[in-house]
Amino acid sequence: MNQRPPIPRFAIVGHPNKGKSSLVSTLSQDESVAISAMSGTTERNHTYPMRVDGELLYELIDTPGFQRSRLAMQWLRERSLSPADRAETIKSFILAHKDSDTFIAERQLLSPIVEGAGIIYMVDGAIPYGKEYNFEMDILRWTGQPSMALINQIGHGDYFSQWEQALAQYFSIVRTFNAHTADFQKQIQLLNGFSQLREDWHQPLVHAVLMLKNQRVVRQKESALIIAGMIGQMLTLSTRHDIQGELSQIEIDQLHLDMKQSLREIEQFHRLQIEQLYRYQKLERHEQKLSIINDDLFSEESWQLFGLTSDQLLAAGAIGGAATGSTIDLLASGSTFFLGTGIGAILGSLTARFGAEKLVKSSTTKTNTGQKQVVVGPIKSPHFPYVILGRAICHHMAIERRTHAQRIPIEVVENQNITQRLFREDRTTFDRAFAKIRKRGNDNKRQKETLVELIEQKLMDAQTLLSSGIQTNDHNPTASAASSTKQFD
Amino acid sequence: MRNQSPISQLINLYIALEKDKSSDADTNRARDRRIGLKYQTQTLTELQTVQCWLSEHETAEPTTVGETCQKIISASTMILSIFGFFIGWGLSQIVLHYDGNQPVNIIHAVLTLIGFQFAILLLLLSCLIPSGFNQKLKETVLVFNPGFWAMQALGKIIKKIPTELPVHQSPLVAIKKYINKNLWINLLISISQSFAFWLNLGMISSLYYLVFSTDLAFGWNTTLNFGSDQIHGVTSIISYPWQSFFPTGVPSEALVEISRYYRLENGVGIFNDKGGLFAKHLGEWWLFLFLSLLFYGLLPRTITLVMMKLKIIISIRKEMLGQPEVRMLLSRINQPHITTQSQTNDETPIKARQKRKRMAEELLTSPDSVILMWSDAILSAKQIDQINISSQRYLNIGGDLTPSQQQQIVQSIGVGSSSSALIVVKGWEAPMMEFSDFLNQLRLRFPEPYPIAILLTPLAQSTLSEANIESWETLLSHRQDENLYIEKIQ
Repeated sequence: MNQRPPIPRFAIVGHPNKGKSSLVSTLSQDESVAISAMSGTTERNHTYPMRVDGELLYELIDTPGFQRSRLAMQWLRERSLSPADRAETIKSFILAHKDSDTFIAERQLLSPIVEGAGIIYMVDGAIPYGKEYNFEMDILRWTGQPSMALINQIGHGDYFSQWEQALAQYFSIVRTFNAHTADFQKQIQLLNGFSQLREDWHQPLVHAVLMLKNQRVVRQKESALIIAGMIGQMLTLSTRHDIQGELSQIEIDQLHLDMKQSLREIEQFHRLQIEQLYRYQKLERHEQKLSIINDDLFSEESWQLFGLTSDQLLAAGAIGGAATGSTIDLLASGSTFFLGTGIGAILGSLTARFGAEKLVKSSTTKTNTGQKQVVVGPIKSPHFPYVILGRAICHHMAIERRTHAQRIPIEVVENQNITQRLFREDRTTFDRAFAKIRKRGNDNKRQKETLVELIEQKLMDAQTLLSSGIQTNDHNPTASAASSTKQFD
Repeated sequence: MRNQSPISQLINLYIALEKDKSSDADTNRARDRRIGLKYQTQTLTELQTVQCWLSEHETAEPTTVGETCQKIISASTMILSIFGFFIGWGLSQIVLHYDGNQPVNIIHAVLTLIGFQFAILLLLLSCLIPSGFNQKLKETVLVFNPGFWAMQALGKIIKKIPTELPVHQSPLVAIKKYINKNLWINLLISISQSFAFWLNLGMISSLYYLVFSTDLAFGWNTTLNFGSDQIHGVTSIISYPWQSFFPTGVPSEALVEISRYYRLENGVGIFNDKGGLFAKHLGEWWLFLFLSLLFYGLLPRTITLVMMKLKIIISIRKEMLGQPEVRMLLSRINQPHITTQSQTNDETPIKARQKRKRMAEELLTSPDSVILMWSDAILSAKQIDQINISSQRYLNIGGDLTPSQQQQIVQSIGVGSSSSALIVVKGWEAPMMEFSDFLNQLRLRFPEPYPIAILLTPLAQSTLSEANIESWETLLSHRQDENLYIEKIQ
């Protein structure tokens, strides 16, 4: 009979405040894990099962930190007769203190281990090793369960070599892992490391890693869909208002303001969708200063960062104009010898160059039934789609790079490098896609698919650029500290 | 699964997706994947998958909003169709009115009953060429469609409905919100084709009724200088579609010749010089008129009606599958659902923090204070100078000492030999319960009001964070000890 391999379970244990919950939060993509600089935030075990379509692949168990390891060790030593009975003594310890308040934390953290969970022992490499840790490591060694030590980095100090030497006495596998800054690749490497702890844990963990990689690809695709939907909506957004007589300038200005507000709301709505896709439900974005993605859609900074240069503006305008001109050619069945396209291109580029500053425009028109209307929008500036796409890509990069252990508001600084590089090669392709949306509206399935593909490619390119180490000047102090951390993979 | 029309499905789909926006994204993902797994064994197209998903969402309500919307559209179509039939009947009665004085002018009849609507039909067909540029043309042609005016009236009502109103309260809101411009135009065209179909049916029925119940005489006349051979040429061209299998429906040259009449004084119609002799043949035109109505009215309208119905179905399908929200839905249905979160979460405990008062300096600097170094905490010479510690009585506790060894050290501190105790701790480490146990031991040995101070030291080249200090203060604030102080070196 085929027996199913055991479900790998990992108890994350250690001294209080060493980032156990942060590790769990990052690996389980769960921002609701209680993380605090205060000691004893985790008071009982919490299990984080990784399931694929309901099938359990592995479990992470967040445990409270050791509180009375010396006393526990004394109890164990007093009762153990030989190394052979140590694991049993640990079990007796748990049983003996079942109803006692003295060893609540120790009982909690040791329970899953005696039930077969692997040990992930976490320490902080930013603070020095101390002898008091030996009791904890001794107790864990007594359990006889497979174990791995992780050196986290919470502060700025560098005591990694001290820790390596100390941990090597107790653990066969020692790795560094910064739960706050570890990117997806590092998280995957860590999970692969977990699979080395026991042979029969290998298969479910390999499957888990495969599923997580697939999830990442799916998320990118879905993000591209969300962004494309947003761009389509924003590029074609126009409002019509029935009017009697003429509108005053104040009324027109108000309509323009309303239009901008609607665009902001669309952008915010799609931001939230992407955040939810990456399982961020309560991300703060409002309190940050000097942050691109928190900048207002119509702020000068956004337009300077993501907008086009003069040459690019001419090219984008030309394509937009040509698209309009081609309509005339088509209507005239080509008898204009494509003059429409040519003239449209020239007019488009001139308008783009000299008329781009006026974003929201309005005009008055009459409906088929003779009702006079004022039409506000859509925004025709060639800059506009690049601004919203650039901002969306930056936001996506920030979300993708973020770990669920981070509790600070989302922050991305100066990613102009990346966005400039992204559109260097195929700006014309994007110009065409945007021109088509503007010309044909947002209901064409084929043009939507084209835009989704283009955006998906850009999201992947952005990820590649980030992985290749392009300078993003992230001001996150933990990020820069992480780069100096030695990896033991 | 309910058998719903495409429009009903589209509206219900949008409503379901809209509803999803207010619920938890991960819960939606789990639910959608569950539906996906349920239908996994069947080979379904994307559309069928969406339809299956939709059917799983059907409520227990007898009618969905989409179905109600469909009923409104169907009712509008039906009313207009009935109206069309009677207009057709009436129009035919007027145009083919014959009182025996003047024959029915076949040119007038063909132009009125067929010519005008055929011209509109041609215009309409030009709009159906799939391309973006004929949008304006399409909108202009709509003005000639009675469906447009009927739906325009409906649109006026819809426009008055605030969009904030929940869709389930008014299906008209759903129509306004979820049927896009292109689909709306196609819908109007389809409704107008239905009207035109019934109009033609009304005209044909009326013609047949008149032919059957009265004695109709047809003739032709024109102010223009047309000869009967030219009119025959035109009728031959018109009759081309049926001339091979219905030759009697093609007016002969002789019939055209004898059918010409002139109106002279007092409005009395006088036939040409052979008039009267061939009066019995003048009714033969009815078959030509009947077939003209059939081939240039009813049949094309049937084709355009079917075409528009198909076009609507196709465009709805395209729209259903082209929407980013639907692509997302399909992704949720088809991709494995991965969960990694815990089912239970602790609320972060809020521990009361109380700022501990500072120890009087003279106690801190007293030469007979005992200084207890907890877990290998170190005081540098600079730090000793900084807080002016003069006592030389240092004892190591905690660290790798066993609890019994620690107890012995505490006992070794002579009662009365020291005025206060200063515990030096690593301020960067979180306080643990074993430190609290040690304080208990110490307090047992030196009951209140013996002052005890805890001195937090920072890491070398570093300062203590507010969180570090808070962590220690919180631990101590749980102890009801007025003579327990906290100090820090920065």
